Parts: sequence; structure tokens; C-alpha cells
Amino acid sequence: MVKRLYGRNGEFSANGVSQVKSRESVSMSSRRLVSALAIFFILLVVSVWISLSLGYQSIGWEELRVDETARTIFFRIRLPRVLLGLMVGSSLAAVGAVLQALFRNPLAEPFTLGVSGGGALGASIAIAMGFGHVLSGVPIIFIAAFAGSTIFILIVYRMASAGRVLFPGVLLLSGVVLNLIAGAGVLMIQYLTDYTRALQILRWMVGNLDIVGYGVIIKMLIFLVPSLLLLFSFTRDLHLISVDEETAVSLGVDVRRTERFIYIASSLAVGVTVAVTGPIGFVGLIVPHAIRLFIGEDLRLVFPCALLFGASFLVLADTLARNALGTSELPVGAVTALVGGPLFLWLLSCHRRYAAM
Amino acid sequence: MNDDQFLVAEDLYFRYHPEVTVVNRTSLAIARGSFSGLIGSNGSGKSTLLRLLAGILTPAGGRIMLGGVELQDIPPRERATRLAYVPQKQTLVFPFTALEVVLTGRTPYNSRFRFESDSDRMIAFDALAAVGASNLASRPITELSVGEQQLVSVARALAQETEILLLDEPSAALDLKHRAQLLSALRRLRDERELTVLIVTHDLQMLDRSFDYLYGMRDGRVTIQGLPQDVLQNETLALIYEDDRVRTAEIDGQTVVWSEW
Repeated sequence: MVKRLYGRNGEFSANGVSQVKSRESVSMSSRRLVSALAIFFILLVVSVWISLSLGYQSIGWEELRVDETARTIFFRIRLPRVLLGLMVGSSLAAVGAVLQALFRNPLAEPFTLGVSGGGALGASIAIAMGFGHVLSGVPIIFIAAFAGSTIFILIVYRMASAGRVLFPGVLLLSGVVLNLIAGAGVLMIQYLTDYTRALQILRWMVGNLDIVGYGVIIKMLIFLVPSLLLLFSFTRDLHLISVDEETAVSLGVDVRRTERFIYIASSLAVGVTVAVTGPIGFVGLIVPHAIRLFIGEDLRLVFPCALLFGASFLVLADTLARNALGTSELPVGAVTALVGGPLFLWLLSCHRRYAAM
Repeated sequence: MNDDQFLVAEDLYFRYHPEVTVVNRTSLAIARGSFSGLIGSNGSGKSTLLRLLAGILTPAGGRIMLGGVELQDIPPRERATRLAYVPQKQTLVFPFTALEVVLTGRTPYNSRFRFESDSDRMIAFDALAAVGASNLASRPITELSVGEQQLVSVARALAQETEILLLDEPSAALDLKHRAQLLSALRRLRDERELTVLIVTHDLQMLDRSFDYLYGMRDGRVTIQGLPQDVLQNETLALIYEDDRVRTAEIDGQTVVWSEW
């Protein structure tokens, strides 16, 4: 082996020529990422187009220019719903990918941390008490759900942390148990409250993309954008942790700090989406896995693809939910579970990838 | 800075729990470009001492000096360009390819938002070749045998292109051929690059031919150190392993160690 100088990127090549050359030939990973992103972007555009075109009221592009009613339906109902689907789908998929890497557990998903349970309990209490009001553009139910999520997040965090250290095992377990406790609480509330409210709680629990105004969407973005950017900035460290934690530490990753930031950012992102849409299952579990089948395990590749594909997946699922029954609607959470669950099992049987577990 | 004092532990102290002291006020000095072994019975604190030296654990007392600078004052990323560590066991869950795992060794040289370049890939391939594992490059790491995973892990550490290599039982799961191949690869790197190597091992057979120096650990302390031919004696080994049935003999100019039972 040639004796090399120890130095930062590229310094060991003595002449400038080879340095320029190495920069021009972009690494294989970047090429793979670019082509994968192109494919997933096209898929996303197609999904959005299909979703915007289909609906109970069929709207042609021609009518959009001349018909006032068509325009109202399109811009006030269909477009915000598609936007909400995009945001929620990409957030759940990205957070799922991140948490699976962080916990080195392919079964981790956005709701593992107890966020959904807290949200459900908060929303159920608000629904049962009949809080139908809207507070500065945001329905109180959303606020109650977000408050519930936040409280649960704080409990899980307190449970799992000792000083500056977070224990991933305790984090996972206390999240799962808190979800179960919250589920029991929600059942109790449903049992005690009247019929219509119980049904409304059930509807929330399944998870659906309700019609929200642009105000809510912008308020969600205020939380989602910084959270997702933070997650993105940690993808390299998470990639190393997902290979092996001790090795990651030896490579200079501050695992404890990464854990804390990831935990906060992902709970925030999931808390916001759960508050508005309820816990929409399976997106955060199967989208990252599906992407891994195509592009491999490297989170630096999986994360951006999950953002795009998660958005497509949820928007398409919602299109199905809106149109499958003709006149009435299915909750999208039921569709993602019904379609996503079997699909995931099928993927799993084709690729027994986690034999080592 | 004195080359004999390249990596130095002074009065190190560490415990995982208040009741159990794992490393108990021990000191050692490793010379630049030396090829040393750390031996001792199970639970004597070898792995913990190695983790402390690697900067993965922070000592509760004492200090570690790398090239005259306290290890804790070196930023983690810079530390990773100077000192590589091969853990005894990796928790491999996701089916990364062996090449991807080796490429993680290039992390300290790249920015957070950059993928490894083609020259990084060449270094990774070279590292795999050095340990005789080129054929594993595209194999999923989860499907490899433990020994093969060890080789990949060593290749990752080599790809870090550091001055110091700390290995925790890298040959435990290797067959005789790969064991010899790994040792000769490490020896060659020591000769060519002045790589400093410290290996935790239970494999006493391979010590006297390849190693410059041995450290014997017992009850959280380095109690005995010296040249292989001096340490590999019945009385010395009996002290290190607290076992007076350890026997040594010389066959064909090589020391053989076994235990009578």
C-alpha cells in the first residue's frame, strides 16, 4: 500500500490535477441519489396530478378557469387537502426512517415514542367535552392533541434520561407502554361519552386528512420545516449510528447529543401531524422500508427519498380514500393500514432482510 | 515529545457502576510504531481500558495523553483521524454492504453533507484488500460470518488512515489463515506507515513471533509488562491469569501456551 499523508479530503493527492479529477467524478452515492430523487419526484408530480384531478365532483382544467364553484372546490377543498397529505406523508416517512436508524430497529416508527397516544388522549378529552371552537384559526381539538403529545413526549423523555444520557431501550418501552395506557384512557372516554362524540373520537383515532384552511397548513409548516431540516442535518451521524453505535462514537459522532436532538425534532414533527390528522398508521413504517429495498440502507440516501415517496404514498392513499366508495369517504388511516399492512408483509416475505435479528 | 510516550495512560480510573471498579488506577505508555498486545483473564478490564484509550469512554480519574496532548482536548473528529478503534462486537442490524461499512471510516475526512468521493472508495477497497477481504465488498454485512465481519471492521479502521490502531480481539473468530493474514497486514502497516498497534487478545500462541511488547492486566491494572519472551513464562502467566496450571514450551523456536487440566 502506498504511504499516504494524513490530511483532510483530497489533501493526500500531491498534484492539483488528480484533485480536480476526483472532484469532477462525483461519487457513486451522489449519482444514485440524484437518479433516485428524479424518479421519486416524477412519481410525486404524477400522484399530485392524479389526486387533484379525481374527486366526487369531477373538475376539468377548462372548468377551473370559467366555473366559480369548481374553483372554490379546487382551491378551498382539494388543494389544501393534497398539501396536507404531502406534508404529513413526508414528515411521517422521514421520521420513521430516522427513528429506525437511531434505534437500529426496523420496527421503530413515528408513533413508537408515545406521541400518538398522547395526541389521541388529548383529542379525545377535547371531543368528549365538546370543545368545537376555533382558537386563532386552529381548532381546539388540534391544540388539545398537540398538548397531549407534548406531555407524553416529556414523560417519555424524563423516564428515559439520566442526566445527559438517554436510554434508547427505556425510550422505546416507555413510549409503547404510554401508548397502551392512552389507548385504555381513550376507550374509557369513548365508553362514557355519548354516541356521536364516541364516533368522532373513533374517526380521529383512525387518522384522516380533514379539510383544513391554509392558516393551519402554514402554522404546521412553522414546526415541520425546522424539525425536518434538523433531522436532515443529522443524517450522516445517524447513518454511522445505524451501522454500529460504538464505531460511530469512535468516528467522532456525539451519540448522546444526536439522540437528544433527533428525539426532540421527530417528536415535534410527529406531534404536529398527529394533532391535525390523527395517527395515520403504516406510512412511517413501510415507506422507509420500501425505499431501502430500492436504494440500500444508507440513511443519507433514504431520508430525502422518504420525504418524496412518503408524500406520494399518502396523497395516493387519500385519493383512494376519497374516491373508493363513490359518495362517501373512507378515513385515509384505514386505507394506509389496509393497503400498507399486507404490502409490508409481502415485502418482508420476499426479502428476509433482517435474518440477523 | 518522546516517541516512547506516544499514547500514555496515567493513573486511569473507571467504573460502570459505583460498586464495580473496572479500571483501577492503572498506567501504561505505548511507544510510537510499536506492536503491542494486551492480555489478561476475562473481566480483568482489558476492553474497558481499550475503550478509554480510544476516547469512547471518559475516565473518571487520571488522564490519557496522545502525542503530548490530553485526549479529551482533541476534537472527536480530529481524534478519529489519529486513532481508530475496532470493537469486539458490532451490533449489525441493517444489511449494509461491506464496502459501505468500510467507507464509514472515511467520515472524519468528509463534510457532513458530502458523500464519500471516488478516492475514498479506492482507499476503502485498498483497506479491504489489505485484510484479504476484497471478495466481501458487495456482500451484505449481516450475511457474513462473525470472522468476516471482524475483517470488515478492521478494514474500516484501516480506511481511517490513523496513526494508532486499537483492536479488541480482532482474531477471536478468525481461522488460522486469516489470523496470520490479519497479523501480517497489521505488521506491514506498522513497518510502512509507522502505525502504532495495540491488540487485546486471548490468543497467546501468536504473541511471541509478531509482537514487540506485551501488557498483562489483572483486576483493572496493568500489572506486568515486557518483551514477549519475558512475559510468556509459566510464572508470569500464572500471575496474570491467576492460574498456576498455565504451561509454556518452545517448539520450533515458537512459544506454545496451554493449560493443564
